[in-house]
Amino acid sequence: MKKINLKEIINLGFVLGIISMVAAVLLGTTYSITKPAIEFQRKLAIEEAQKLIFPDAFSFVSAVNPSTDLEFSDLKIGSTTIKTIYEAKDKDGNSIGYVVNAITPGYGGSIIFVIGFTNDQKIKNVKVTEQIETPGLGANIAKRSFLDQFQDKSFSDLFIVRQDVKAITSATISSKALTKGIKEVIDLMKDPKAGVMK
Amino acid sequence: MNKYAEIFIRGLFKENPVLILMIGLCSVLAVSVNVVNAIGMLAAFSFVMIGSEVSISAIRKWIPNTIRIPIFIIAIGSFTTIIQFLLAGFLPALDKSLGVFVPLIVVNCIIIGRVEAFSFKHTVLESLVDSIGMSVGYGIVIVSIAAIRELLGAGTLMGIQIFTPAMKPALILILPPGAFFVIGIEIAILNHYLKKFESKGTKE
Repeated sequence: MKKINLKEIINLGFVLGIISMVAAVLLGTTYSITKPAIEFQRKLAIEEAQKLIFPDAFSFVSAVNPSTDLEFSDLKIGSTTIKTIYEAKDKDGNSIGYVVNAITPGYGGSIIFVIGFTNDQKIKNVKVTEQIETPGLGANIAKRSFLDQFQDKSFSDLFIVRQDVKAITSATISSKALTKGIKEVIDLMKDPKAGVMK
Repeated sequence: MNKYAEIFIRGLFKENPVLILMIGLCSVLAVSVNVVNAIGMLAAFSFVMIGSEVSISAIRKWIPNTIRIPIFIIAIGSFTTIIQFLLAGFLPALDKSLGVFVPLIVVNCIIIGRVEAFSFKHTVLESLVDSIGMSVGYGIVIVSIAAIRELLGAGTLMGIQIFTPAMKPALILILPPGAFFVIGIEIAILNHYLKKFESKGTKE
């Protein structure tokens, strides 16, 4: 067996460390430069999704918690995090529903989705804005063919995959993950203590 | 012939990464659905290719032989992540349509293959020329496949309608099998002419 040379090992580690450090500095710099632009694109995608869900809405106003008078942000419910809740209003300022932007863990990573509710406790529509599920399988949760089944579903529905939600073939985990996320958002909307819906 | 011209031309034909070396086929087959995607992929690929080859050849004297592969991966991974940030921030539409194939540049064998086989042993300038030659060679193939597939499979080119809607496009060319048809034909054509060219060279 070759004798282990301590000096050589330290030398190798040193070289690898220096190169990693240079790479890390480069990456960090690009990240901080592009971060505002990426955030802006993300916001744009969510706004677009809101308009798609409520094409007849005139404006979207950040919903306010009546008991604390604060905007809803970063609410945790189960494994889902709710980023923002907006109230959709028509031309005369009447509420026509709510849009929620939420993040839920999927199979490959976080699934970011936007979901709209009408005031009669039904789902208006769902749109997935970001996901890194398996391409060709789990990634199909972002497709209309999967998401359209949630339209007009009521708050009192079960939201159980294989019962009232059809899963995508060989992508049950991704299907279940998004369904669970939707269910958790609904649980919050239903909860009178949270006070989102009047 | 000039040494640099020779390195450059080699990447185009004799050692064309896709058609002759047959590496990095995955992204070529998957992304060549339309010309816009192909050009975007080419830009991202070239950035990583040129960046990795040049930086590795610049520091090749300090890289210990035993840990060269991890260092290659660090360099390639960093350049890929940088281009990914840039795409997500400034070209979100392209970022969406290229999807997983940008991060997959990390494991694209063309890049690690050329870094290992070429730039680890050559000067910065030679590596630069080689990486540009390889990128152009990759580009010719991916853009030409995409043009054929888009034109015959969707009737458009760069998203502009070429054929009248009355002419039904051959949908199969847009679907995955179409990529194999077109790349097979291109491989055959290039090999045919290369053989002709080489046999001529030996006779003279």
